[in-house]
Amino acid sequence: MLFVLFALSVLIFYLTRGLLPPTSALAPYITPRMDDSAKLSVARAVGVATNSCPSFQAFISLQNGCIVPVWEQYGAWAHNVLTGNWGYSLLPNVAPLTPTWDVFWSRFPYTAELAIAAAVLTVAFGIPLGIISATHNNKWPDHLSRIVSLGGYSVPQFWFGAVLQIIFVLYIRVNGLGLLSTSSAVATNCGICLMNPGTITTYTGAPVVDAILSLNAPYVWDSLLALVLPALTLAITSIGAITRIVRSSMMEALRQDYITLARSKGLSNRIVVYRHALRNAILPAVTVTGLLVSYLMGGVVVVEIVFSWPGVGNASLAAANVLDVNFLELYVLVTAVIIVVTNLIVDIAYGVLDPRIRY
Amino acid sequence: MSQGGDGSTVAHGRRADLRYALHLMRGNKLVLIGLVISVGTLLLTALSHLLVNPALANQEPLALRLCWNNPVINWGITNVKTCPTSYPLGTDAFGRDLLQMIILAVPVDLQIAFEVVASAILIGVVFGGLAGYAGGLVDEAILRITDIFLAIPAILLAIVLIVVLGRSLPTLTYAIIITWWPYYVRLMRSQVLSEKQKPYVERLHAMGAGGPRILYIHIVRNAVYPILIQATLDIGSVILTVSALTFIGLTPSPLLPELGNLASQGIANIFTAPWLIIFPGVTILLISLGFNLLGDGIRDIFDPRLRR
Amino acid sequence: MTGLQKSEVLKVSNLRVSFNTYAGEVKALDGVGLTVRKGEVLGLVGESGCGKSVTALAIAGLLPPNAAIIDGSVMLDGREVLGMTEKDLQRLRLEEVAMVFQDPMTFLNPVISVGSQITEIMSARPELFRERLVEFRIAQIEKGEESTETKGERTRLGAARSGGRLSSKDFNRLAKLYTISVLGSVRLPEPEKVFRMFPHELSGGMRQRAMIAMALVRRPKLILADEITTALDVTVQAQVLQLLRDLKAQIDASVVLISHDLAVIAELCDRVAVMYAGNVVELADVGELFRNPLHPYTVGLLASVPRADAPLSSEATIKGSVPDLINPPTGCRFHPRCPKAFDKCPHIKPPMVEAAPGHFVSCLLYGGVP
Repeated sequence: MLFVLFALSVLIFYLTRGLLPPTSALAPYITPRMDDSAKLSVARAVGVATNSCPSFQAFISLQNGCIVPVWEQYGAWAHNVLTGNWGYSLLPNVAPLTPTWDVFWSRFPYTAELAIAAAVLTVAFGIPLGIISATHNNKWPDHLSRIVSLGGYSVPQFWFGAVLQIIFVLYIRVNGLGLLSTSSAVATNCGICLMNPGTITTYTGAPVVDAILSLNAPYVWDSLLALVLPALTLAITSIGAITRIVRSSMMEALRQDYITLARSKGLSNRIVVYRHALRNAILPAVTVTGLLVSYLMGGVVVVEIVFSWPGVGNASLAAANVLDVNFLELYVLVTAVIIVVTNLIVDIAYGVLDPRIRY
Repeated sequence: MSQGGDGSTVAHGRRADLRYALHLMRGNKLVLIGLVISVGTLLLTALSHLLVNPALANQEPLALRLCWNNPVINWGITNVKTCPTSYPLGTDAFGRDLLQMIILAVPVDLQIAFEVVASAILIGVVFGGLAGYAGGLVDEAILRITDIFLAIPAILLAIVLIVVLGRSLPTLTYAIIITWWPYYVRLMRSQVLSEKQKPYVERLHAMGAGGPRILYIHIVRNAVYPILIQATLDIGSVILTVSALTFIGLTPSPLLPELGNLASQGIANIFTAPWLIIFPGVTILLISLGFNLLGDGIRDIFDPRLRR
Repeated sequence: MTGLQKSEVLKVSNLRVSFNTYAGEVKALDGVGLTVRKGEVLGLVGESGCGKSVTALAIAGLLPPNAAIIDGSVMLDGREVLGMTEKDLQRLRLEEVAMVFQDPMTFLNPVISVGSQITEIMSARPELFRERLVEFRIAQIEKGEESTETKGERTRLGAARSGGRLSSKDFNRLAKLYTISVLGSVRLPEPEKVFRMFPHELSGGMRQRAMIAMALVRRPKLILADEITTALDVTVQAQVLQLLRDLKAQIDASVVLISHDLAVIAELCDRVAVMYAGNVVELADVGELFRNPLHPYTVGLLASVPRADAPLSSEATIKGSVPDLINPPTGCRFHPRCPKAFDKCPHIKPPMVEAAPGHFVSCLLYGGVP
């Protein structure tokens, strides 16, 4: 697990430091106040300029002997990174000299809230739809759920988000305002929101959580309203995927001999389906969880842009445009940690759920 | 169909398989819809430059931008600009006929999709086959490498790659190929591993059927079917990914006729010119739906457990 | 076989079952009739595909969805099983008919422990098992067999016995203890350990015993044992058969023992029904059948068993192969392979006649030609 993270950091490092000019590696660490000699010493501290480099101008013009080879830069980079020094943010709408680290973590709770909400929706809709589809095979619930799942799987997320916005903000109106609003993480301007929800204290940075912890019910309501459409958009693809998987593995499980034995014992249909079949059918769905988390963490980029959600996905696009590679590196590594940890949990869970592989 | 009872399929049995498969296909309506849509898309791709002059993909005067005058749909929005001449799907932010742009965009997306899928198949078959067949250190190494790539979401890796490689159509394609190949390597590897267990492999060994190369060819031939099915399903997924990337702005040029690119202009005008996001998105949805239905149908038909 | 006699537990009459498959309609059962008396073991023997399992599944109401019951009746203790609602069928399977299957590896749920797969039967309908469990535990405590008696247990049990409530915690514990005792009675070593184990941790013979235990806890009137020794090694087979023989003496159930192995049939059964291609062709006491087989198929079947004291004879096989049940032979389904077939055989389906007292056969050679 650690090896994967290490290798990934090397990969990202090489991509950003190796394929871009050294000046872009330096950019997050220099302030406008610095003169050339200060900039040169920062360049040396960051590991891009050699100690024998005569001047900052020589460094900029990429003079021979001035630039540290990429693979040697890694040590200094790793040292900086592990001590939390990611330089200053280059993002356009951020105050100057704000550390990238702070910018990232101030926005991350919004993304986490969105991703977790989408995960909850995926499980809450995908698994029951899959089960119903399998137990009512070829009847209308099955057809409905297959449409939902196929549609979810095939629909472009940006389009789905846009359509939801058009329907619920433009067309369905209450009191002259759209039913929901999509301007930020708290709904302030919609037909059914409470427009003055008061204030909350920031414990975690995620609006819903903080609102709950601050015991501010109207704020909870407004922030949940703002969460509905983006979370649904993010979740639609994974709902489609999970429904398919659960449906096919439930159908497979219900075909097995042990179901016949269970029925022959006089057990009720509910017990047969939920205790005997589902326990087996859930295993393939669990193995795909890691993949789904990966997909959710990637999908936030598009969804946050469509809904103007103030999370890291949104910011990563701005970072890409201004070549703030530190931000992108941080984003990638944090996401990788999350995915690797999730896979680990999935492996452990699988061992718990399937007694056959415990040894 | 003649099947060696141990899982191998004798060559002439394949033709009978195909006939049976076509017979099943005729009965399965969804697959037919998928087939129709997929073939239609390919036709459109082939004919697109005949239907629309590519030179039209340029900026037009301000008066033509973001207008709508198709009486069939009334958006119910005030201040919809009416177009001077008739445009079935309105115009985009550059004043071009949206319908024509969509027709020009379909081949672009499809070409990228086929390039990505073909490359992924190639890389997957070669390296996945190698990993599964050789085992040992080679297998471990290849597996670890796929682990690394699978630890970050595809879109993020694609963003980083496009940032460092620059924005152009080839880099877009390469970026997606680089994020896509690990799945195929893994898939091929697991197929080869399960093929290796089958008795016919031992039989070939015992018959002294030449060296490892011949064995490899036999195994690969049997292992490759799920890969092809996955590839059909993935055409839709690649188009979704490409359009997502161009939608967020990682496109070589804003004027490029590409489905996600066309829609990206629409997000700023979502409440004033909704057609700009809706129609390119519907096109993507239909194409992806078509290939998914086709892939699903093919998989259902060739899945031996679901027959009978 | 006229009318339902007092001692008949099961009476199957004229059962016709077809399956809708891709290739066509498989006419699996073509008018099967048999009876099982109280306390007897009826053997059901025949080649693979002759419909033995289908008959058993039909009796228990467990036919798959693509099966259609075209005709016939299954009377269990005087009640018609075919056409029962699912709820009634569930009750039936819980209390009256227990089925034991062939391959315990695929028939046991791999992710649930063995003991749990037995206690769930009782937990599904606690009211049906309450009394028995309470009596069992009281007897156990009084005999001093089980040393781990919890505080106040005796009083709680006494209260429950005279009509008071039994808490679910107590119930579950009693169910567990009862299951362990049943596992012991099927001769599983260390039953407390087996209780916690999962199917893949047990050997084939142990799994089969666990399935038998599953049937025993229900104290059914009828046990349908479908090829229960087929998937086992010969030595284990012998052990399981011995177990069944001993159990038969103790419990009061009737058994339908399905097998294609004549030796197993001969070991345990009181009467035997021979099936071929969806029909019962002969039905007699076991000794009578082996001494005096009447139907040509039975004759061929018995002759084809290799004997240690006689040379292998190439004529001792039945020529031809099992018929296609989508387009079965007309009239008597055995006629294409029958060495004694005559002109009427392809045209008339032979009715079941009593050729000798208690010995029924379905062959035109013995009657039924109008």
